This record gives sequence, structure tokens and C-alpha cells, in this order.
Amino acid sequence: MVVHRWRSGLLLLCLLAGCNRDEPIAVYETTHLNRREERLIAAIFKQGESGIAIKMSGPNAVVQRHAQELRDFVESVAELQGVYPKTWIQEGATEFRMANFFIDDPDGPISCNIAQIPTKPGFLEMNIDRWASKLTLPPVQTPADLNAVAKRTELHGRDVHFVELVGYGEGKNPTKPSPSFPLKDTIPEGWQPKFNALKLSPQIVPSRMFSVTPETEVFISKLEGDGGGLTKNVVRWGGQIALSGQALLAAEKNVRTLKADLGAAQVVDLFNPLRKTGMNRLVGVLLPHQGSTWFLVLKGPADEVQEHLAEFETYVKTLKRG
Amino acid sequence: MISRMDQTAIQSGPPKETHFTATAPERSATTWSKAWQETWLYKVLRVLASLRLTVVLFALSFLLVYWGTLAQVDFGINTVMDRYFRSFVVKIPLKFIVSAPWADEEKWPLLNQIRLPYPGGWLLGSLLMTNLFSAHIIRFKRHWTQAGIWMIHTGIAIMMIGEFFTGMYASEGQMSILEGKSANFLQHHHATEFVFIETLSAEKDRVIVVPQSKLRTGSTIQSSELPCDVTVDLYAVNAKLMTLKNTERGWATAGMNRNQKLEVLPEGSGVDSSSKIDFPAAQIILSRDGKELGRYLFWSVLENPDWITIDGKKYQIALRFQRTVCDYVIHLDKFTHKKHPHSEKAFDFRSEIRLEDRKVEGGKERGDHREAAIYMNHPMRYNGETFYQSSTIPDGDTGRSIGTVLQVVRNPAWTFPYWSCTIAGLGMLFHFWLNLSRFIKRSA
Repeated sequence: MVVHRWRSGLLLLCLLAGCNRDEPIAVYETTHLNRREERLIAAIFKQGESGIAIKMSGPNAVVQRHAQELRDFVESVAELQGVYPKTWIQEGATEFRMANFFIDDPDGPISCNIAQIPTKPGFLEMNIDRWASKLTLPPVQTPADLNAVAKRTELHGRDVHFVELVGYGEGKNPTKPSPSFPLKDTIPEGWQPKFNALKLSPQIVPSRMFSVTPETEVFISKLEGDGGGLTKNVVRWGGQIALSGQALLAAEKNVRTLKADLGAAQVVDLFNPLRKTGMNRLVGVLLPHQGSTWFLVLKGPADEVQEHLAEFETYVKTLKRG
Repeated sequence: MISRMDQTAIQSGPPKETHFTATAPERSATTWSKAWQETWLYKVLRVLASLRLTVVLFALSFLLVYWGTLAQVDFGINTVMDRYFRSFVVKIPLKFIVSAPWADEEKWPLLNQIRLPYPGGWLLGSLLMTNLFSAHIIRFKRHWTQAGIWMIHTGIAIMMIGEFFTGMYASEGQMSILEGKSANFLQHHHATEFVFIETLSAEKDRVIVVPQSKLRTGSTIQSSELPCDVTVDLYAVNAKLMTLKNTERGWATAGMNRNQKLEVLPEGSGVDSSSKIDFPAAQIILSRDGKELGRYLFWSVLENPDWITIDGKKYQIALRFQRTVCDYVIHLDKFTHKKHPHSEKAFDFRSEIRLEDRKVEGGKERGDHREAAIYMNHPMRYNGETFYQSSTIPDGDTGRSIGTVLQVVRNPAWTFPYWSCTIAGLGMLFHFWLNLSRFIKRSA
């Protein structure tokens, strides 16, 4: 009887021992609530020791609509400067991106950004793979795969790879940035917003650049206090057109006052007659406002500066509080 | 007092039919009682109700708790819970059984390699429950004076049943949602799964899941559901990937991690203040009809999957934290992250959400919609799940909070401990009151 009891007990133990959970292989269909068809177009090129990637991404149809704007922008970029459409809104640079642009569209906004990328061997494939993974696309494995998504062209004497990917992504819509330029202004016809990675650093934001003609530009920035004062800035501006010594002293003496809506501005007109072509004239404006000083500069070939001086001064005079 | 053991509710040794309870002689006199005692069920219950069995089971339980505690030196609390306490049989390493200062596993590796089978928590628990129920059926008095004992035992039984249900059905996961976006799945950081994902359309994927329980080192998983055979060369509960040095040759032959190697790390305890989670990794060989398709190295941390083409179909393959697809969708309308002034310390996390239940019942969507604000100490409860505000998703560029992480807990037995303690506590009070009143009466 006792033996029977223990046998029964053992049998029970063995049965229970076989009861550990064994999960089956599961197959199911899942719904991606945020996934949509997206397009990414980008240009990758080398700039000195590093590489530059200019990328636009978002819903397929919207990116397709703005694709030409990106191509025009990329074509305009030389030495990290380029002009972009007035409809784009530039945001401040971040640690990883030299510039971000917000592009509004009736079907939802998209973004374009410029980033510096390392140029170790295979950097093109690495970046394409990184972007492909965000669009649920397989990585580039063969030269044929690479050729299917990247086309090489020559721009400004350098190799530029245009990349185009279409897949399913969950990219988030960019939010409209709050205006980084705190003043209200009326941009004259013909001035085109300009991107300059070297000058638009976060340290001197808020700042703006415009291309007035291919050789003439307007640069606007703000510094706290008097920003170093008149003399220091005259010397700094003089350096930009290779002007020094007596010429600068004379220019400082000839400073004139311009009555602007924001207050009285000091205008310095610098000209280097020894430079026959190229940038030889610079008109600098110091506009103190609410404890800070705005610096507005028009520079380029003397005749072009002269031609656009009136509209520049009108621009300065009509600047208003934002 | 010892001589009066025969008058207490709990008896030592097999109950003797003539005096196992005060009322037994009266009942044994009846024909029904005699017939009942002759049945096989009564005989089985008498064995199961043995107080010796109770003592042995308690002793085995004490040892299990002791060895389970020692096991936490090598494994995290979740692994130990699953292996030792939420299992029917556990294999105990010899080193724990020896548990002597000279038993150095480096000198004596066999001490770690030899593992002896031992009853796990669920087996001991179910046997203890059976023992208790059997004792109540055949031995305990059914009299109001025993109500306290009955209540205490009922409380203990509810606690044990609650633990069983918690082990079987409780789950805890995280739902990450970006502001303005929706989510319909939970991610569980205590388990992984190996997946093949076939993209069907912008909205739909077909997912084939190999659960973690099958991902054991040395195992080969074959199934008609899988596009190929999966052989697990190595599965590490916690690991990291290291880039190969120039002279090194990697194990992997395919995939994005072929220039990496796997370094196995000790499993996190799971109870330290840092609350670090383990990041499992695996070396997996994929093959088809005996032909190797590639050796892949997977790490659960990596967001981007590998890809493989089988029979012209492209699959994403990944080892990822286990996911549970929900019947409902949560949309994050607004997320607020306030900080204390001049500090990075959170003052308030608040998720304003919309829940849409899309479960189809009887051909119709359940269609339950609700709006709620989930914030610290203010969870949302829905359909057996509790949603707690857990943390935030920071933007990679700006560091600004752009989304929320909700902790979603389901435990159908969460009220059991409360019921258990209440019933057992009342039982104790009743029993003490009864004995006290008897004592006072005797003293008077």
C-alpha cells in the first residue's frame, strides 16, 4: 500500500514536471499607426577634410514638390554658402546640424537640414544605410544597389552624390520654429536669404544673411551692450576689405547718423580704392536698441554697393520691434 | 500541553480513525462515514493530508528560498523568479547544495555544471495547497470555534492562488508615444523575441515571432511558420557588442554586425538602485534545407534590424525586446514636462491622451473612446490595465521632451493580497479572541 502511494506521488510529480510553459511561434499582422510613404532626397559631398550632407525628407508627395528647391539650393552651395528660397525658414544650428530649415506646405511641413559628417571609407554607403533603415529599406549591399539610389554629378569642381530613397517611415512633422529674428523687417525684392555655415554659428544668432547680387551681400547680427563700440568694429570691418591705418581713422571721422524707427544709427562707409575688383566697399551700421547693438553690413563691389545703398538704408530705417 | 495535541486542530502523523477529531467516533458510527472511509478518494486524501508531508514541504520550501536567494549572485531577480519560484521543477547547481567555503567553483567547475532537479515554487505551492485542502476535508473540525483557523487558511490560500495568477498572467510593459502620434504596442524589457518582419504595405507588417523561451544556446528552431531554420549558437541575457580589432576575426558572416564581437556581461540584479536593464544578445545561424544562409550577431539595443531575402521575400530580422500588440490605440495629444525652477528635476510629467478601443467583438469594433490626463500618482485604469506616467522621450538634437513613456501594468490578481491579508487578519483576531475568552473563563 505504501509503495503504491509513493508511486502515485512520483507519477504526479512527473506529470507536473512536464507542465512548464512552452510558448509557440506566433505569427500576426501588425498595424503601423504612424507609418506613411516617405521620400528622402539628399546630396553628399566632401568639404575639406569632412563631408556635408544636405537632406530633405517627409511625405513622398510633399518632398517631390520641393525637390527642385533642394537641387537649386545644393547647386548654389559653394564653400558652405548658398541661397535658399524665401519660403524656407532657417532655424538655429544645433550640435549635430549646421542648419535646419522648416519648409511649410499645404499638405504638411517638411524639413531640410545640413550636417557635417565624417568621411571615413564607405561614408556614402553608411549614410545611405542609416537613412534607408528609417524608411524600412534594406541596406546597400552591392555596387548595383548603390547606383540605384545614388547618382554622382560634378558641382563647383567637386563630386556630389544625389541620393533618393522612397520607403515607409515614421518621420515626425517638424514644428514651425518661433522666429529667431526678433525684428519685423521688409525684405527688398531681389535679396535672397543666404546660408553660411561659417558665419551662422549659434554664438552670433540671431543673425541673417542675404545675397543681394552674386557678389554683394547683407549680413545682420546682434551683440549685447555696445558690441565693442564704433572704433573696434570699424577696424574689424576695415579688415574685411583690407583697409587699415589712416583710411580707417578718416572713415570713423566721417560717420553719419541715420534716423531709423528703432533709434539713431551710426553709418560707416569704407572703400578700398586699391582693390579694383571684387569686394572693395563696405557700409556698416551700428544700431543700438534695448541694451544691445544691431550690426548691419552691406558689402561688395563699390558700384553694386552704391546701387543698393538706398534700399539697404530703407531696410535699416524700417526695421521694427517684433 | 504536549499531551493535549490530540485535541488540537492539527494532528501529527496519519490520522487515526477512532480519534482524529472530537466528533469522529460519533460520525464513524454512521454507515455513511464508514463507507466514505473505505473509498479510494478518502485514502488518497488521507495521504495528502499528512502533517509529515506538510513538514517536508515546508522544509523543501525553506531550502528553495535559500537556494533562490543564493542564485541571485549569478542571475537577476526576474530570472530567479522564473526559474526557481514560478516553475514546477528547478535544476539546482551542486555548489548551492554543498554551500561550503571549500566549494570554490573555479577549482571545482563540476560544482556549477552538475545540477540536481528539485521541486520548483509552483510544485511546492500546489502540493502545500493540496495538503491544506485535504487536511480540511478529512481532519479539521467543522465547528464555529474553528472559524478563525479556516479564515487564516483561506487567506493563505488566496495569497498562493494570487501569486500563481500573477506569475501566469501579470505583465508589465512600456508604451512610448511621440506627441501628436499614436501607439498600439507595449514593449517588455524583461524578455526578448527573435522576429522575422515582412513589410506588406505602409500600414501593415507580417511578424513571425520566436519567443525567448525557445532561444536557448544550442537549440535549433524549425517550424513551417518560419522562413528558415534558426540555430542559436549563443544566447546571452546581458551583453554588449565590441568592434573587432584589425587582427581579429569575427564570428558573424552576414548582417550589419559582422565587424563586431559579442562580450557577455553578468546579469543585472534587477533590484539595484540604478534599475539598469539587461541587454540580451545572440549569435544566430540561419539556414535553409541544410544550407547556411548566414551567421548573424544580434543585440537587443540596436534599433535598426538586419535584412535577409528568402524565396524572393525580404525580411527584417532582429532580436528585440518582447512586444505585445494591444487591442487599443493611445494617441498622445499633448505632453507637458515641467521642471522645478533653476533645476533639471521634474516637477510634473503630464500626458494628455485619447484611447480608442479597436477590439472587434461580434464583427463590430468595441469602439470605446476616452480622454484622460495621466500624470504622477494619477494613473489611468482601463480594461484591467493600469497606465502610469513613467518617463519622457527627449529629442536627439535639442534634448526637449517630445513624447511620453507610459508604464502599463496588468495584474488580474492585484487585489488578492489585500483580500488575503484582510481575511487572515480577521481570522487571527477571531482565534485569539476565542482563546482569550476561554482562558479568562478558565481563570475565573
